[in-house]
Amino acid sequence: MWTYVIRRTLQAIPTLLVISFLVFSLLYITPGDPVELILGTEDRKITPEQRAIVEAEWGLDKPFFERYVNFLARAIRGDLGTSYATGQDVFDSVMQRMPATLKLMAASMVLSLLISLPLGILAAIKHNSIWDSIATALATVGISLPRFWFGLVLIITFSLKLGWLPSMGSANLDQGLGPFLKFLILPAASLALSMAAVQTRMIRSSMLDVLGQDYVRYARSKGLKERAVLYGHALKNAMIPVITTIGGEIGGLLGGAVVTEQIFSWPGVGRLTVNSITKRDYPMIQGITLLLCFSYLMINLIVDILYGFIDPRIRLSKKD
Amino acid sequence: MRKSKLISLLALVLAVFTFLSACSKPATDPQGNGEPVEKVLTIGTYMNITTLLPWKSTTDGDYYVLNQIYHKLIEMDNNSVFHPILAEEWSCAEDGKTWTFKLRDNIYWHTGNDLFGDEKVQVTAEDVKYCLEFNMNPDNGASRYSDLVGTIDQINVIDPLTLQVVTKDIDVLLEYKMSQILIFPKKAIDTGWDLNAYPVGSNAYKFLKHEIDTEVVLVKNEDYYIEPGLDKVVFKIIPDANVCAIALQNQEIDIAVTISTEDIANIAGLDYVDLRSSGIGSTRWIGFNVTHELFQDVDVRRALTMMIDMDSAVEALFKNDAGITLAVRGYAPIPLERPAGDQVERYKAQYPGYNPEEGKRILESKGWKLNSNGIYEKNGKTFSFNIQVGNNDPLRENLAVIVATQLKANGIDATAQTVEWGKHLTDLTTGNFDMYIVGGYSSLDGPMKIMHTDPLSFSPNPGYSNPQVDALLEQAWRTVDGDERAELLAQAAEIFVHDAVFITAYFQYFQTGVNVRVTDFDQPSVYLNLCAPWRNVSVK
Amino acid sequence: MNQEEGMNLTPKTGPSPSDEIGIESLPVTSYWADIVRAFTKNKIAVLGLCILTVIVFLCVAAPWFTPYDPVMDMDLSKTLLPPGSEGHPLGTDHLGRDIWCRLLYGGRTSVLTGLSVALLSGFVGVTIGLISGYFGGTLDSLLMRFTDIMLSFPFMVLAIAIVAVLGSKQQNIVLALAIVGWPGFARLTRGQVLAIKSTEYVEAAMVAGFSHFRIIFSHILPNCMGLIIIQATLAVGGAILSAAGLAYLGLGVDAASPEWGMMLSQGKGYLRTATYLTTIPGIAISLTVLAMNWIGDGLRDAFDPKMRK
Repeated sequence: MWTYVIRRTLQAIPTLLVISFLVFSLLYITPGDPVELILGTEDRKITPEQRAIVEAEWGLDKPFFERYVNFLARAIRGDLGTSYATGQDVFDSVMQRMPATLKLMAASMVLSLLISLPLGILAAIKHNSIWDSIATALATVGISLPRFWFGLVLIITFSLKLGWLPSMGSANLDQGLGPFLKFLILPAASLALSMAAVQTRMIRSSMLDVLGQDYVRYARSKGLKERAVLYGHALKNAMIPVITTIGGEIGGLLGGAVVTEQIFSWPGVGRLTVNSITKRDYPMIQGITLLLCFSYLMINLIVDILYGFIDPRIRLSKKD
Repeated sequence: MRKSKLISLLALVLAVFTFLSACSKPATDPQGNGEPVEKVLTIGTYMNITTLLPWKSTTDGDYYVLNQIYHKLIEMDNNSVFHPILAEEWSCAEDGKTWTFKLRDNIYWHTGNDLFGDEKVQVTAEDVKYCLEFNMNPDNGASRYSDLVGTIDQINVIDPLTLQVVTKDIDVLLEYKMSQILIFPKKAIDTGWDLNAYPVGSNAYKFLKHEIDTEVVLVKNEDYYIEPGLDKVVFKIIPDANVCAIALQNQEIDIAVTISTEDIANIAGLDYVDLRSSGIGSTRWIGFNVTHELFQDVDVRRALTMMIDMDSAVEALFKNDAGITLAVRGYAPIPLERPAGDQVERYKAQYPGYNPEEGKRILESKGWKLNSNGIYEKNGKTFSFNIQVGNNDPLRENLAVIVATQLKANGIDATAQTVEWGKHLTDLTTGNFDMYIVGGYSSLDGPMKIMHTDPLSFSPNPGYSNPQVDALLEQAWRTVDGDERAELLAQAAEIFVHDAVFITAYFQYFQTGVNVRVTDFDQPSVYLNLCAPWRNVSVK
Repeated sequence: MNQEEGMNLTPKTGPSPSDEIGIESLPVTSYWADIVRAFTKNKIAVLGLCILTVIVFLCVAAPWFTPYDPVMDMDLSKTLLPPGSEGHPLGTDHLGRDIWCRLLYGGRTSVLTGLSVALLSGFVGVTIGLISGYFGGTLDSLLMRFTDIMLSFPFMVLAIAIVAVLGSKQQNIVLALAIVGWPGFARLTRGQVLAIKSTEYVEAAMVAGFSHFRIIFSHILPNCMGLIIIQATLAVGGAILSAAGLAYLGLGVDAASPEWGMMLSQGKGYLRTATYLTTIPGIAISLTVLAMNWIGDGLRDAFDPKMRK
């Protein structure tokens, strides 16, 4: 297994190379002039003299390929560069926002699993029952109404009408568990709802598949207790597609839940990304993409390893 | 068995929820319970803080904060009148070029930081000279570089508290430009102090902390010659305007910098909140790309203008039950409050008013004919174009939709197209657009920048150039007498309006929501100090 | 471990051997006929199909059901009329346009976008997932790294670049959404394939020397179908909403044209004063997604060989 992990980690290098080149070229063809967008305003243009100096400073006057190689050379040494807009180190800027993003991600993931696991399992066991309908209804609502809508409705309900929770802001754990949760619960809930929708559907469907499998029938016919069949055999096997989905969701959430962060004034990576894209802050966008891609690859590695644990039939490495 | 297990799992979920809501309930008391004497003003702003470097600030979000930390020489109020801040008095010599600023003798750099320690160091003319020159050095990437470098000839220190600025030519905007420059300590640059991480200024409030994307907290400068009215100023960054209004209604913040049009009705009804208008209208217009083959002819531009019922559009966009004036109809690109802005009747006389039949008649006289689809066509080409609008303002987007629809009703195939902001701004600079919607330019020099040919002073350059207008504007900007200058400006604007370079849509008045516990907050503007000799914002 | 062994001992049922081996022509027809029969027996699924049919019919034949034009009939003096107003059963929007009318015409774009995105990204994703999972090895590594790249790519950068290069057309919106959508299908399918590949009936088919094509399509794909269908039904709703996000980024064709997702996002500011601006298109999307979900569940059950029996 360790050879597998090492090989996959090494495989990340060409992937990162490709993605950095892709981002670099996409940004290159994307209209939008960082010099104008960062130094100028709607009311104020910058002079050619100023532009020349800034372009030289940022290396924008160099040809595309040279810029890319320079970027790579620095990135290999662990230097993702300096933001055009803020003058701050890119790596530090992302890491400053990472804790908030991780907190939100973890909370919403826990919350959504708390909803989706029992509901999905129930819906599958009691196929075509009231639980099944509830699960379908949740999925329908969770998928068809946008996150900003949930977010605002939650704020209007719990903050404005009931006055239980604050409408905006965030707190650190060192300010106490109460305040920490108080700020966390609404954004996490608004994210969890749409995630739970997808997960419930996935768990239900996957459980149905597994429950119909021969080995489950066989286990039943062997006279194993229903509970043992359910949790020993069925659930474990049903988790494969669910883990895939969750892996994908975590990847998405690492990039920041932009809309949720905007609505709840949450200081996560998503807002940084959007602001950087609006300003065409190339180093920042490149840095964020590389860091996220790397975390994403690592999560997928974990997911693939989990496949193996759940279902030993899936051999991790064909070659070995 | 199985059933009970699942039910207990569900019960657990419910219990967790109940626990969470229960433990959060008592904690929602308004902040400041512990120290009731502390006077804290919380300002909610949608604007991000990009940088806290005083010479780099380009956004109002940065400037609002920096303005409380650093001094400017002078401050301009909403009536375009200047007031002394760091400069106690100032004057211009007979030649109209030599300005002398006399600084206050009781202003010191903030203490209690590692830059100055506890030593009270006076702010001198040398510091001001250094800052101006720093801004004029292109290597420093100062955002107000172009304002200064074209106009200032030399800066002299007469004595430690007297500064002389000599301009190359008569510049009636010098005071305005000086009111934008923030004065920071030379020592910070010399010693490599990180002013972005820890701003050190000389104004009434000192920097305490900046939590990225969350808040900036300032505290009272105890050594200031006026006792600041607040112990703490908190700038909360709330990116969503609707949530900002909710936070104000919830009394989580005292001031919401901008209340969106849809929320006016919700806020206006609250007895503990006052709405304050921004005081100066912000210009919004729909411009023609004059270099575009469809729009080169003045008569065609006028004909298109006639097809747009702008009065109804403005009425529909801004009507509210509270009866608050959120915008007024505009004809020339000069806000009503700025010099020459009040000559509305003169501009209206030049403006091609709503008359779609006349507009169609003019188009037909130019050889355009309605085709079978009801669209004008000439030489096999249909009259079709895009109205491009940035994605940062729903009101402008709605305006684009209204205008496109009205044009369509008159046989013009116009499409309203929302464009990502970065692309929009770059398209405008490079001329890659048909029709566009832009806003801003409400500053004192805005009308000059809009109407003058010089592409440098105007970013969305629609390609319009009229030597007569240029001459009038240049003359105006060298005329010291205010009334004469306004008259020249008005004459330029009359020609500009007649040439239908663009359709001035409206002047928008932003509404700031202010809790009634806030006192002395007369003019809501990010460019004004919270604490000044004639104003000292506090809370009850 | 015991369980796994037990599983290995299980006699093959699945798509029963008699159906699979040797007889070429018969199973193909009866397989699809079986599915149709199983689907039509499912009342909820048929109800979903009816709802979807009604929605599609209302949208396609929109001019029969509303006297208004969704764009041109803009009455600036009658903005924000609540539902139930005279002449406007669902009220008017912030620019005085009839909401019922915009809902009908908007459905044309939205339902079409949702369905085509789901189909397109489903097709590409499932194909890649099948190939990747079935053949494994270097091909798998390559395809999955490619999938990772697409999944972790910042969507906004991609969207803005697509507008820049291709221009804003309806097809490009579908394309952009499909580009973002397929990796999800690919990873999901691959995960399923990995599990199914090592089942006895597949191994038996391999031993019997069946072509890869046949093994993939008659043994593996039918067993992945359940989850793929669920993912696809979820993708329809997702695509309708994402289209609104793209319109916001400037990939939208026309800010005036009606579209459900756009109606939702444009109503955001009025959530407290005119809630119906968001709830009405929300219900429309929900109803479509619900119908899709029911159809999806019916298909899932119909495709599942064990459920069908």
